[in-house]
Amino acid sequence: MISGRDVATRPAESRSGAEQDREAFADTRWGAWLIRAVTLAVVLAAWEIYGRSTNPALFAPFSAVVSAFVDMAVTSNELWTAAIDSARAMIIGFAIAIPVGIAVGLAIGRYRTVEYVLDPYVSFLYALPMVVLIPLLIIWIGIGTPARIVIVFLECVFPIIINTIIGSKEVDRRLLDTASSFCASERQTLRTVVVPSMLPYIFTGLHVAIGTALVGMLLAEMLVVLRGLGGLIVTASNSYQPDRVMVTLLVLVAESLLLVGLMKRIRHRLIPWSSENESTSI
Amino acid sequence: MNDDLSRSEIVMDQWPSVVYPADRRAKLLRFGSLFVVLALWELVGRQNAVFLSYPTAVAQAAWEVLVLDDRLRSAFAETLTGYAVGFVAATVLGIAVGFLMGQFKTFDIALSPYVNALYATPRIAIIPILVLWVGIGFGLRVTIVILSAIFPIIITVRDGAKSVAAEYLDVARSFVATKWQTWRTAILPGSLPYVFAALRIGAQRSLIGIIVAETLAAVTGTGRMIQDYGQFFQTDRLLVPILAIGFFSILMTSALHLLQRKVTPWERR
Repeated sequence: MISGRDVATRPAESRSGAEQDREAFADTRWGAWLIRAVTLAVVLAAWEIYGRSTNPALFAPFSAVVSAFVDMAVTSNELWTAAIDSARAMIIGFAIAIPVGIAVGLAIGRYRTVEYVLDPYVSFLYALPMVVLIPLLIIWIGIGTPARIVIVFLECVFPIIINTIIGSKEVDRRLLDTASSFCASERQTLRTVVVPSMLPYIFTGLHVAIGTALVGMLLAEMLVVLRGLGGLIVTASNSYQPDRVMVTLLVLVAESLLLVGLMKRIRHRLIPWSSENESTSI
Repeated sequence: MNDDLSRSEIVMDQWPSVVYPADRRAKLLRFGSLFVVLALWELVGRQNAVFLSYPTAVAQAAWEVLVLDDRLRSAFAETLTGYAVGFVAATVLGIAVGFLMGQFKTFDIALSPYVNALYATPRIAIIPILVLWVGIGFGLRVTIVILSAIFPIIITVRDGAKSVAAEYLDVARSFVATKWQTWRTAILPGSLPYVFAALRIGAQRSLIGIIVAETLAAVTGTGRMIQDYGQFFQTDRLLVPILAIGFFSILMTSALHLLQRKVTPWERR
């Protein structure tokens, strides 16, 4: 069984009273926004001053990044073309990984025999950084779009498998007993008990997989095909255009925050009964 | 706050520590399946050595590149040095920043947006520009390891206070413990399991980072060797560092589990 003791998520404990008084300013809405605004101003000013004083082939001030953004996203649409190109391979790989990951995870989690046979390989591949498999994948499937999809798939299938395994082992015993008392078939048990109680775990897996899918997308684009956002970053760096690199990086930051936010939104829609914290506590 | 992000990965971190009843059927099935897989690989691989290679060829290649030749060995040494230095630096810096953010709300509010954004962003994307800034040698390895490992550590140390049982904090408050005393005696030990989970996540992520950096930029190191073997279709040799890295990753995770058990004896059951 899984040892749950070091993951039990305890309820968030509020800070002590004295602490709250002392830092009451930071607790007010305006205080927090002021602190954030000041930090942002300091960061941007330091960025601008440092950027102007240093070699423009290596670092770009904030203003240069803004004008590069206008250049790449408004005057031309190369940024959006690259982002869409990237997203396509990523979405396909992610979409294939969801059913495969859930099916494999369910099989391992529910059936002991499957677990004994498969878990050494799953553990090994989960621990292995997928980047080392890329040369092997190039030998096997070449450097086209399928390679990109496979890399994304491999990056995100294991988090989904592993969370599904954990979820399927954490099904409430009493509910399972009830199901078997009522002579539920395996199929009925899966549909009415196992899957609903696994959903929060599956979403946790998807949450992590979104992040690894982005990593896979970039790996493929930087090491295999030189297209999309990863390709933009590599070509701009190699031609000493740090402003263009920084624009692409900021787009990536925005994209990953957006995807994670979207995932949370979907989760909240589909399984409103489980908050993030409940589901991740074992 | 974005702490659910780290929580998600901490749950997954449990997987390798899953304890199985070591009954005979389990052993039989596991070794049986391993035997079948290796035998099949040997049979099919011999038909197409470039595509798949086969276990005996990989064993022979391992002998060649690890014992007879010292290129791969020195590549491993180079990678490991950068990895170790970066990981220690990330641990120290991460705990320090996380502590400041956890204890002083102003720090937390000021830095959280950046930490959360950097935590969620794939760090391998900054490798090409890092090459411009720190070159392609030791500095690149250390920097990418720090950037890969530090954010999970910062976030878990920052949220450490939230994961400590309320009773302990109450006891500390009843005994009029100072902030520092509370941190040292209640919050730090209480959040150690989370910190170790973060270290394991960081260890994995920085392994990815260092290999990508070596593949993209460095002219030496394990990543470069993998790339070379792949380009010359030496599949048998290519599999040697792949398997080595996989086992190293498992070793690293188990070592951190072991260390955790040593420093948090009260968590043992």
